[in-house]
Amino acid sequence: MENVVAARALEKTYGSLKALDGVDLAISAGSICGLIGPNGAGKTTTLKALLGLIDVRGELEVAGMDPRAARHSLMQEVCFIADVGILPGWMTTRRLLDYVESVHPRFDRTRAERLLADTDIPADKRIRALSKGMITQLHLSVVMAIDASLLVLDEPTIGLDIMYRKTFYDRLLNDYYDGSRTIVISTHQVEEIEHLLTHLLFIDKGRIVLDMPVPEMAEHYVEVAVEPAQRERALSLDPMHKRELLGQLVCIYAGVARRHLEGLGELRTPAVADLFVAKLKREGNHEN
Amino acid sequence: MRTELQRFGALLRKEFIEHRNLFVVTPAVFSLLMLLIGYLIVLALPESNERVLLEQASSLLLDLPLRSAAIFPVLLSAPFAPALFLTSIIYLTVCLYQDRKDRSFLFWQSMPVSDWHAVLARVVTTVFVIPAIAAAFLLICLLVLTLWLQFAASRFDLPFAFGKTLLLALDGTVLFYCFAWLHGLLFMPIIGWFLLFSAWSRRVPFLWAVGVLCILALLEAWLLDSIYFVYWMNWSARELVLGYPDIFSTLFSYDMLIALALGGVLLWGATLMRRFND
Repeated sequence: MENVVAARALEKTYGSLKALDGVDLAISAGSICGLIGPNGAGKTTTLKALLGLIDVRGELEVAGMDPRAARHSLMQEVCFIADVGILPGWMTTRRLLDYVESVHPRFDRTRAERLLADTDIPADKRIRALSKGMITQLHLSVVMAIDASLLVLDEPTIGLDIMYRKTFYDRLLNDYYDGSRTIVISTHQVEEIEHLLTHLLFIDKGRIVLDMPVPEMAEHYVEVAVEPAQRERALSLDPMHKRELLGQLVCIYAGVARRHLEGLGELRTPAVADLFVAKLKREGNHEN
Repeated sequence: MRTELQRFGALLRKEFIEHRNLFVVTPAVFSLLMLLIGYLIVLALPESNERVLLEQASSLLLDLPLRSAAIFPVLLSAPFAPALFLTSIIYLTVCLYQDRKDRSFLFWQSMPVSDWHAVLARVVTTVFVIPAIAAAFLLICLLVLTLWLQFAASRFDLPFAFGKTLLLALDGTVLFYCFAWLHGLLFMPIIGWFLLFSAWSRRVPFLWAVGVLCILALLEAWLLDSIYFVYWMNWSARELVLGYPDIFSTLFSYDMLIALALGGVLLWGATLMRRFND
């Protein structure tokens, strides 16, 4: 499948800090890609690089364009929602729609108004007077009315209550994602989105530490809730990560065939959050 | 499908709506002040003096040829020049800074609008839109003054050239607007300078812009033993208040060419700052 994002050896430094340290990316069209990493790992820097908001070294192509040279053309193909309300507070909803309609050739105002009709967002109230949840809903409605091939979400639901978070992702999947569009999501709340993801990218200290489609991840990594009697055997198979959960040993194995693990206990695909912790500890970068 | 011009129009509309309080309130306050001061002067005059004043004004307006009488509205528009300058400087200082401060910058950058167009919209707003609003207020002031003169003249049974005064008010407003945008173009380096600091600074852009100007002037005096920089600023200030140059000769002069070239370089810098100031 064609790649919407292709990057090689991306580097970005802020003073002596290496925010991106040789990042390689290949995100295929139609995927929902989770960019997951701890604070300061380089997630936002990566997303800003994809959007052409910062200058980086290395090869970079997004939707067939170099964001550094053609940001404004690229923005016809790419939409973006950031971690905090970035909509201009002085505008009203109606003026916001007027503006986007005036400058964005792929914006469908009728669709935006239809989407907004399903919400409680008033048309003539200033954005600064709306709640954070409403602002996010408004931004999502605007973005969903743009016929773009790539949607970039940087911690889009941070600070929202559970109702808004659930609504956000439900609308994203039901009303926006059609299998041909690509979505890149960076978030800390991995549990909420892991069922959506088709591709995983783990980033830490400016480096990609895992880059894998979700079906492949399910084949490559296995989590075992080890039976007490099988403890010694389980540990002898060199798990990449082990932890105690309610008195039971839980191990994650990488690249070990399931048939070798059968009989140790219940086998399952590890949760993304558990795999993330395992991977980062395996890399030796983080304390237990 | 919208044309580039229509999209650019949307950027100008956005600038106007975002900063309409600044654009409208400053000239409105100046207009009110002017009218209030005029009213207080008239109130303070004894009725006989008011009559004498009116007689002189109406005979001047009746006798002088239109071209010579044009000096009156031009003089009356003089207080609007500092108001216009003040509004423009405040606007230039905040226009590229405020959206970075409240992070709406990320939203504007997520739209298919080039940084150059974003900066150019600010320049066009400064050179053409703000003066147009100030000119509208000037026209209102002149119209109020004309109506008051007509009313006062009829009270004292004096002849009054109402049509000619109305024409002068319109003429003065058009002249003011032409001089305003002409000065805007002539001061393109100042526009570029403030936009550069508005796009660059993380705090107090005005202090940065003015502070660096002062340091440059001091450096020139100290290192080169010359004061061309101070001279240029002094000339600019005098031009702003007193300068009513011939429009066409100024438009096609070397001064204008140099101003546009230097301003262009600074605007290019502001565009780069907006683009890569992370």
